[in-house]
Amino acid sequence: MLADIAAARDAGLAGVVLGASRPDGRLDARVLSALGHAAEGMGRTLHRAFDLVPDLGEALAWPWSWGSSGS
Amino acid sequence: MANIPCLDGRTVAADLSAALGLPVWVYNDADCFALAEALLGAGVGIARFSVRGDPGHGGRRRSRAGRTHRDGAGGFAGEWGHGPAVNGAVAPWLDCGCGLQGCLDTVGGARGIERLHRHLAGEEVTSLPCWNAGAPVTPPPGSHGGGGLGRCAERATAMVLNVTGASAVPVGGGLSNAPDLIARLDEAVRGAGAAAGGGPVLRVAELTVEPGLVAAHWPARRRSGVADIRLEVCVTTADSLAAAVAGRADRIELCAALDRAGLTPSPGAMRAAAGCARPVFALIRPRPGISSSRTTTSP
Repeated sequence: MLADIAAARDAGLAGVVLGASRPDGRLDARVLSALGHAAEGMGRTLHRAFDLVPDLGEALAWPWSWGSSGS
Repeated sequence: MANIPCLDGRTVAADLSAALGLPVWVYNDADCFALAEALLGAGVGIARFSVRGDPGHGGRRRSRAGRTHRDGAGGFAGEWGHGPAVNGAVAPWLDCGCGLQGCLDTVGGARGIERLHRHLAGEEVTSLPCWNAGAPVTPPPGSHGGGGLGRCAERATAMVLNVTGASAVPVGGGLSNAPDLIARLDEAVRGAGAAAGGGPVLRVAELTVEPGLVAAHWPARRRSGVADIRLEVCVTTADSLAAAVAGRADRIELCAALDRAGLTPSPGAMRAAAGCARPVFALIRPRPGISSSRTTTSP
């Protein structure tokens, strides 16, 4: 996935759509942090992994240090 | 429902809305085609405008405000594919799927052209050879209404143009693959007394990739009552990317394998999409994901 993000950056795309789930459906914070860091400077959006978490409140409370670039 | 009998007795919008948990509106495909052509295609810069679809259905005139007229007594207006309009001196009035007889729909589409050719030439052919110059359905060059299709349809079509004042009639569907036939029909119609300006009126539609889908979200956005809805469209190909941009998507999500809810596109697809006029975000998802306990579908 890191190489895919690099490919998107090299291609000149505006952003990437990311997601990483643990087996129980919760977001994988460690992996998401690494992916978000790799996409620094690009638009970053979460994909359906976010919609399918068991506890939306917990997911929303996550410290989204990479900010939001829209839905 | 003439063309989709399986929907008889169903309330499609309500059923879909219940299944999706979202508001659903259903629009006529020819209306959406008309809107797309009016706002992005052959109608750009033209005030009044009508559309001929294949098979001959879908005359929908639009107003200056970019809306279709649907306020007739039966809930629609501008319908000129259905109604007793074929010139009976040229071809018999055939039964139409709409329940009437003699509609332009019975001779104007691919199957209609084949029926007409059978009647005029006594031979069975698929529609494509019928469209070639010299076939009986095709008006010969330079003679108004010399061919069967022109003579069947020219007077009714000319009258439609006179009533609506339409100055552009994009022809979509299968007929759009026969520009020579369209040019001759245009000549026949204008020769039959259409009060149009100097240039061609019947012309090949400009939007070739799913024009109905391109426009379907416009009336939905208006009816939703939400002023600022941003539209993101997931695409997998150059064609679908072009259609999304033409349909005024605000943002593109570039994917592969949408049948698996989307996977990472190839580096080549990323490079190919990079010049797009809208922001393109690449989906980073190497494989179909887990199944959540909250749903039976994969994320």
